[in-house]
Amino acid sequence: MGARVTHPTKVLIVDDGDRYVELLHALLRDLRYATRCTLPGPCWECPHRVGCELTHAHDWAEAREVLARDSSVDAVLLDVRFELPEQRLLGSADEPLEERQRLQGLRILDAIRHLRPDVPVVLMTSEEAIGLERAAPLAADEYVTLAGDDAFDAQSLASLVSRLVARRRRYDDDDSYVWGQSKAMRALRHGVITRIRTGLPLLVLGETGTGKSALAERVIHAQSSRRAGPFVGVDLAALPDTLVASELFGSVKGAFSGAVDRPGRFEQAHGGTLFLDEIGNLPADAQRMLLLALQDGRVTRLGDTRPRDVDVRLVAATHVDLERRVREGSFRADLYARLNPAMAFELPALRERRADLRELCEALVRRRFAEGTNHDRLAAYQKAVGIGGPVLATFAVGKEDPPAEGVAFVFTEESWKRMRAHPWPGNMRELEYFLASASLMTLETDLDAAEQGRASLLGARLPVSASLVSQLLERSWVAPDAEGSSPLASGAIEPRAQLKEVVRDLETALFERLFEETDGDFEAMAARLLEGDPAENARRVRLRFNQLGLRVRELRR
Amino acid sequence: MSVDRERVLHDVGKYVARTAMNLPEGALVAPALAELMLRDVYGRGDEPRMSETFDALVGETDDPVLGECRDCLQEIDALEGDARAGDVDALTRIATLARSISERLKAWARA
Repeated sequence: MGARVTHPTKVLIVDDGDRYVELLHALLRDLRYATRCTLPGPCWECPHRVGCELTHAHDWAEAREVLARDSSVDAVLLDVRFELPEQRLLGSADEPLEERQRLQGLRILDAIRHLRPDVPVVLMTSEEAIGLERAAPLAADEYVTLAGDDAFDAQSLASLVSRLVARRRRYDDDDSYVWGQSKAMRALRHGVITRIRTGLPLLVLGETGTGKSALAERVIHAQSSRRAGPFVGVDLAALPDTLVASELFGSVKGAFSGAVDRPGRFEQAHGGTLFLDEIGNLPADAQRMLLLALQDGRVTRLGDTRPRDVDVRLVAATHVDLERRVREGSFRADLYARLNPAMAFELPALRERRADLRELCEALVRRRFAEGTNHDRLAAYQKAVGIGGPVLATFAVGKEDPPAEGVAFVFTEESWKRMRAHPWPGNMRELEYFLASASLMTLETDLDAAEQGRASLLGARLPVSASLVSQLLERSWVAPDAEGSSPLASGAIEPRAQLKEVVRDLETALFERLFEETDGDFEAMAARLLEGDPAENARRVRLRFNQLGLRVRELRR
Repeated sequence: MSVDRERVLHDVGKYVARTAMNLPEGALVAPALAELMLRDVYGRGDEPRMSETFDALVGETDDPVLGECRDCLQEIDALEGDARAGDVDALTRIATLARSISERLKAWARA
């Protein structure tokens, strides 16, 4: 994705009358207006403007029509009272007509939330007018604002709208997390943003690789009131059961063999957010201790008697069915309740948000070359072929124009088609590694050519070969099943002449996956594979790793 | 007659000054905005005038604030001829009166 182009804010006005619309059109000409008319140009320059009924939406049916057609609406200005005949109102016919008219805007708000949950809505009313009981839930919604006295003060209203839109664009422009535009993610974003403000514990569900940890750190923590405090993440799946308690709660010297005085992750997260990934893996003892910590807001280090106050927001994540674990008795019901399951949300699998694939590819390629060794290699390439300006990489497909700055990794139309059809069982993580492999291998090949004086053939477009893409996609990702009990999917198996070759393929895939999940920590890999002392077993794991032909340097790239 | 305060505030308090509240005190009223402001107070076509809307909602009243608002609306009605002829003083006076009604009704509704 290249530089974003900022455009004037576009608002949709939903009002049963037209006077207010005329007023805004007259006073706020810096705004653009979503209308039911498809003619170009602003309404005030239109020869048909007098008496025109297409300048805004008068009811939900018309609002839906505009919102469905125009994805560039930045904000909705919504009246609350709609003096319309019954057949044009949302809501039950059992409700008195006067009440339906008086609060029709709230019905329309609900409908907008379902259709376009990401669009800020300004309700042109005050709390008093709609009643405190109905206003309270709206106050907790990040995307709904009551205009109150600002409703008819055009400058105040314009200022309010630009603040809301700027806030939304901050979310959109934040490169650290790619929301995308798929329906699933738009709905999720709305849910997440509204839940962040509550300060309550949050439970994030989703398949492995969907980005639960990134969401916790880059969105939930980063946009909460605790963002100035620490974010501490703990992957419980990577910790041996015996170490979980001391890792979370700390220890004092002598608590157990080799114990030293040190704070646990709870204390480290004081004032901030504690993220417990794969909480379904929490051993029974640690479940009890976690429950006490959440109940009391205090933790006691192992071997100590003095409880210490901790103020953390807990965000937990899992890919397993915790409810089922509770029913089976392997996860405490009281702890499950403390995780606030009523407010849980689920990150969709990548296959359920294919509409975001392009945007994700663009962001991931850009990020991959933004810093470090990869950035340096790209800089070397740009220098070798004479591309000045900023060092940056973009993602392109087919015959798209060369980038204005930096270089583009260009995938063929056929490759793009294959990527869109691919099931991505490893989700975001699989996509990330696929793109890293494809772009880095392409860059290294072309940099080599450039350094050998064959730079004349090269330029700002770096074609990614279709055969490389096929090869990478066919090398199936190893996806766990829903409960994580089977680490290897049958889709990972390719027919071989001999069974031992198949077994070796699976073993290689398993080692690659563990390497990636543990960030190349052989002790952690050993802890996942073998019983006994991880330090001792790490040597065995490293030996087997080498026997399989795997190389640390290659996997780290 | 009991007065629906919320309705009076909404239908009169807000709408009477919809355009006027966007005009600085004493400023000349641009023709495009004058048209909108006159529509706020006099209606268009078969729409009721603001004074009629007010009377229908308030009826007979001893409330001093509502009485002052009624006086202002009557003054606005009396200025209609001059205002429609484009008289600058009449237009600025209407804007002042409309803002005054709006402010009075807000204070009244919250009292």
